[in-house]
Amino acid sequence: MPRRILRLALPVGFSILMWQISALLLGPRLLPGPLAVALDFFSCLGDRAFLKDFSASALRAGAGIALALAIPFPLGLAMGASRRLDALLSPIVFLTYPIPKVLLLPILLVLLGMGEAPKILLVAVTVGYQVLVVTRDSVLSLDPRFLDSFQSLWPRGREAHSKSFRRLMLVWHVLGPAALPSAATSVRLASGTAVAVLFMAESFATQRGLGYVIIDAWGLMDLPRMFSGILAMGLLGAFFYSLANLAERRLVPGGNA
Amino acid sequence: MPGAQIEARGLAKSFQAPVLEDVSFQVRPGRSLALVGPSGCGKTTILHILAGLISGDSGQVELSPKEAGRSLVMQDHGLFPWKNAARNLELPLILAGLAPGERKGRVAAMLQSMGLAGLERRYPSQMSGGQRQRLALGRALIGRPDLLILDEPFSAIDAITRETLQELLVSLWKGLGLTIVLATHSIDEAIFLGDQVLVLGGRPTRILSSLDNPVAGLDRDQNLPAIMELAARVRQALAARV
Repeated sequence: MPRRILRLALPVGFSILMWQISALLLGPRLLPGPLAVALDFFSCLGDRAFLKDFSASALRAGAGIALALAIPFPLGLAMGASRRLDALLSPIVFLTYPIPKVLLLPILLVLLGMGEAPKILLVAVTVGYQVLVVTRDSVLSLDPRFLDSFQSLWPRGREAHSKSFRRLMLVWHVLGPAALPSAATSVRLASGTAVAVLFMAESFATQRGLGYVIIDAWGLMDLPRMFSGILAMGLLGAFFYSLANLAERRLVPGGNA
Repeated sequence: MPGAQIEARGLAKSFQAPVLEDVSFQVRPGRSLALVGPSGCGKTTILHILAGLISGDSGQVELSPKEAGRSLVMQDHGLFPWKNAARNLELPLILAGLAPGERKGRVAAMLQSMGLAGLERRYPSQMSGGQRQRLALGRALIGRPDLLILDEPFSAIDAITRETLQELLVSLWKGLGLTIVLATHSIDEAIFLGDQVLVLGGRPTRILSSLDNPVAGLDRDQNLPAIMELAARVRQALAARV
């Protein structure tokens, strides 16, 4: 345990030290020191308005990520399981995949207005594309012995079951759990990008959220507050990263290979 | 379970090249057939045809009774790593449409009879090779099949565990009256487990020899001369083609 603490404390301590040296060199008007930011951050934790901003961002990121799993994960499974659906959707997915999703923000704002929907949807699209592609690929690259094994478990009279029931069972018992770890990994990897696009979405067209806090503090040259906002957004990303990690271990404790 | 009768006639199968050619055999209910031959000779293909996973290019397999249940234990056990022991055992029962109450009872009983009681929550990755093989065997038997098909079931297991599992299989075979078809590349295993030993070889694979084995499942030490004589005949049949 002390070793683990040491392993964490060393790089964190080193970063703080570098930060402090840079702050001394640049001066507090360009870069506030870690202590000033820490004091501001702790005062923020007792500030109701800041907490509201934090929870607004957390809810948007959470809803976006939830949406990114709710639709793209089953769709990715379906594309992996059905050659016909894959042939239909793959070209569209792979043509649009390289487009930076943040470019959709103005379109979403025009279509959906200034409310919560465009912000949540932007996070959902950013994370969802990755979940979709990774899920589809992990179904397609599934070790065929699992498929053989599953086919061998049907009882005699298996012809009695409809094709769609058999496919549903395959997805539920084999393809879904086999693809879950990859989907969780893609959420984990996309969590940083999700928070980044959320910052973009919150930096205008709203007065709630950590993106707004950061941009507002920047405009007022309130640098400690700006850094507190950045720190809070970083923590938000780290939270979703850890949550995906935990979900992966909880949902598929035995692994998938 | 009376055990199924198998009548395979003229089986042939090609993938990129011909794999099997004119493979015919018969297994009577409650008897066991061991397919022995070098790795890659098409034993798995025959088993997959018997299990209904693939069909032959020509020839046919007739099971009697027609609705006989068949189960396959795959070479690498084919357990699902994301399901714990109990859930792996339960899956065939779910697919058979059994009610949850009955499933639970049968899973508990199977864990018990496979010597896996207390391990129901373990995942395959948390079990030893022998435990995994018991689990795979239990999963194949839980649907109460008439025909049990095993593909090199004990090849990746240490010698002592292998003997224990072979004896477990013999007791299940005799106790349940199952028909068994198994593939192995171990001559000793084929002789211990097969009433009839089918020696396969050649390219494409054909039956080189079919030997009746009166000592299958019997005490190895007491039947050593007969076992050695049979093993010599198997080796001769294999060597004739090499």
